[in-house]
Amino acid sequence: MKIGIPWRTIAALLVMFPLASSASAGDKVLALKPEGTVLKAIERAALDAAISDKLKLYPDLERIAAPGGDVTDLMMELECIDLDADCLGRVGSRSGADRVLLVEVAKKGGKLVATVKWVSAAKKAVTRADEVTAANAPALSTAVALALENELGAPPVKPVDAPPTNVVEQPAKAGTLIVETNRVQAQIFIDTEYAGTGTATIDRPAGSYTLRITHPGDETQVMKVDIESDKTVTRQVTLKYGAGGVGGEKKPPVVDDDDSSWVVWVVIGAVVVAGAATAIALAAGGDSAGPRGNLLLGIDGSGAWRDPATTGGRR
Amino acid sequence: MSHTRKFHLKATHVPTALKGALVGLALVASPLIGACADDGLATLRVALSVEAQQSFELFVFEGSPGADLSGSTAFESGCQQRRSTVLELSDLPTSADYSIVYKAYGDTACAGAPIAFGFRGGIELAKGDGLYVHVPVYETGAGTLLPVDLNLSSLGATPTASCDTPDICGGAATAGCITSGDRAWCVPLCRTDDDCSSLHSEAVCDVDTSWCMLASPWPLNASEPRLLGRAMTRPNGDVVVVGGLTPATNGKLGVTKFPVERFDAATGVFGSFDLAGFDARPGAYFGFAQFGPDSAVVAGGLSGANRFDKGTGVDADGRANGVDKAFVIDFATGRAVSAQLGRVVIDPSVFVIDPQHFWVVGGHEGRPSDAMAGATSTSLCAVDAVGELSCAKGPSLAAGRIAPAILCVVESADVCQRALVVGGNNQGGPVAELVELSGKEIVLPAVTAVGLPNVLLRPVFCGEQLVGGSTPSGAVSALLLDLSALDEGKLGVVAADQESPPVPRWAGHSADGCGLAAGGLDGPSAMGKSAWTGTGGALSLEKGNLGTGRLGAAVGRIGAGALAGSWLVLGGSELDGGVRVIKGAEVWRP
Repeated sequence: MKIGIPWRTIAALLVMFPLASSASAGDKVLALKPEGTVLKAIERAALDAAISDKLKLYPDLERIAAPGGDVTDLMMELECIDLDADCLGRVGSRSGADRVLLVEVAKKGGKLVATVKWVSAAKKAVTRADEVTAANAPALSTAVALALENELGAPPVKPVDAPPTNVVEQPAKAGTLIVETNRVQAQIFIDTEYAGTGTATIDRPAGSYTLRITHPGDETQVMKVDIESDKTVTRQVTLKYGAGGVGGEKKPPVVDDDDSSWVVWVVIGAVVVAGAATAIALAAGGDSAGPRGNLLLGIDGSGAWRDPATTGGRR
Repeated sequence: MSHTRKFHLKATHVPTALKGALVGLALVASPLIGACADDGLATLRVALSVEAQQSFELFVFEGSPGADLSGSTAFESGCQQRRSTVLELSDLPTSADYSIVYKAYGDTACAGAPIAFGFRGGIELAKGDGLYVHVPVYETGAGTLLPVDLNLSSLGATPTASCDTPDICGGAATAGCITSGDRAWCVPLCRTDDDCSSLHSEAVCDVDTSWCMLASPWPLNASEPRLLGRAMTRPNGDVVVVGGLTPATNGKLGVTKFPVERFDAATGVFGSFDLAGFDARPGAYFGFAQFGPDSAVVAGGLSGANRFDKGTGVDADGRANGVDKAFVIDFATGRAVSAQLGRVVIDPSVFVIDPQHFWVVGGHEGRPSDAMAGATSTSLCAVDAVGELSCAKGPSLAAGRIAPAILCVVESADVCQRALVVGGNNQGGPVAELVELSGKEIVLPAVTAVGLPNVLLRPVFCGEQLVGGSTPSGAVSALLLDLSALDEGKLGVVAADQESPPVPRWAGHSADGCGLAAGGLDGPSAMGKSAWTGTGGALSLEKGNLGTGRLGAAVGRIGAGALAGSWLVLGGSELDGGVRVIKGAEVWRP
């Protein structure tokens, strides 16, 4: 009697009950920056940050720094004709990685489709390719992050979520804030702590924080943000070069996908003649924030006449 | 810097504010305070301390913060680099009462003590875009002028490529082109007030210069020019300024349109104040004293004048405008009660005997022949149980006196029994005397003063120290009195304070004499800009200056809120080829 190994059954069981983590100690992964022209730079950066932050949840996984140049540069350097498995494998080998992760984004039927591709550096072969679809870029970031678990398994339970042992007070549950800017080199700070450059995925206990985004030559933006437990909120911040100046146009506010209470600052137009303008964005998440308004604060007395309280004389 | 103009103005008529604004534009974001012109050239005056603001913190309070800046905040900026004079806050929850606090620092890390402090309260933010709010920012250790006489034309300037192209600014008569360095600007001009209405509903056209001007940005500044008003602090911290003369027709001075100016401590801007019963009121040279926590006495005074003389203060024919009433103003109810004094009295002093009684002392009685000679007569006034005021003849003085300083030397159960009256003896006689106020028939000794000038004009007490006053030849140093042998008729001087320069004539003093003295006449034609603040019953010279020199300003302490401890210095006059009444106020922040 021939006894065969029930591969199909095992495969099915693996799908139904994935291993806690298929990332093994010493496993080195090179995550390349996402590819695809359908995403804006800021959206690509956000997706890259989402991938990076997801990989951070696997302590046994050693993440290899992505090459500084884009993939095209690497291809030319390695004389790759196409960004195929062979090429990616060679990129991985060159970087000392065991596996290479590449996410390619395209648009199909009005939706964003990302192919999450894993390549073995040793075999120079695709070991896994998952396709995920989303309606917009933030949703795609979330979907891709989830798709990584197909290869890596569920991430180990994070210490912050572990049941308290010696602590008396239950720590606040964490939430996630994704900050996306339009400057690759913009520095992002949460309270006084550096959180990232260009984009940042910030996990913090629920609460109120001060977010500060700076970039040389741009107006610093400061805002109050609320992180809610078990929620991921994406904030898009548009930095503007220089100061308001004379005759600046008024740009429409950038509105977040999931939270209409978030309004990024608008450019101050001709109201500023002899002075530049600094914009400070103020935001509080959640739908219960109520009606909101914008306030221009002038500290130069020559502009005092613009204050509507100024009646031009008491009557 | 050169200016090319394509309109009809002479170079010397180019408003300094516009020049300043253009320089500011050329420099990109220089906070401009003012500029002065000389033969078509402009010299930019920048408030260095404002320019020195390297970093700042901004707080948005829900409601009004306490004096220690306690309170709930809707937003805190953290330390920011200051690169502009306009900030924008977006997506702020609407509110009927926001307050803004701005702290500026001289370094880039918000370290050390703030060098400037901004405050504005009472902000009502409705849903929508772009409510512009002016936040006054006050320097520390100096007076900061509040905005006034704004040149809207300069502020409406828009950049253009060049003034060489004909009609670059539209060719309308109401637009001109002006250059500053290598930059060019189109500037709105005017021929009539209507041409300015698009800039501000109350803007007017200065037809001499064709600029649109906003003369008064009230409530961000005082409502009208006010000379020789007097100020006090209300229990809620507001400063109220009573009286004052203002330019009237034919070059004369008359009473101000509004008898009371109110600075709102909760909002940091001025507010209206309606006062009933303050009829036939004085504008200047009235006796004034705080009478209870929220009321004041105003007695006598002048309701008009031909002129104000910086040397003597004498009005040419002001006697006809003398006031013969005393008023008690209740600020809580907005009501004043009055009583006849039985005589016109100009420049008396008011001394509070107890919570129901006050004494109106001396003053010129308006007799045509005696050129502001001090009177010996006094009046005792009382407020009865129903709040009505009555006055009767009081004890006579040994010497005629104008605006003497008065100190209680014997007190019983919070009632002053005996007072020491010093100075104001412009017709000779003893410089000091004792007066019994208890009604008892007591023969008091004549006072012999040692160490005091024989004649002391317009003295001011702070505790037992004379902190202001002058002889006919000039101001005297502060004098700490020795009262130990007063029962024997001997008045001595413990020490003269030689450390601090004497407070000059016509300085504005706070109501209690101990808070702040500001401005005055530094010399025959020099405006005083110094300020003295009170510490421990004495005044010491502050190093910082007022924003402008002032004679006869009103001085009142802001008593609550974020500006608590700062001083409002309001009105007065400056010497500008004569005497010109100042319309604006400033805030002195220690």
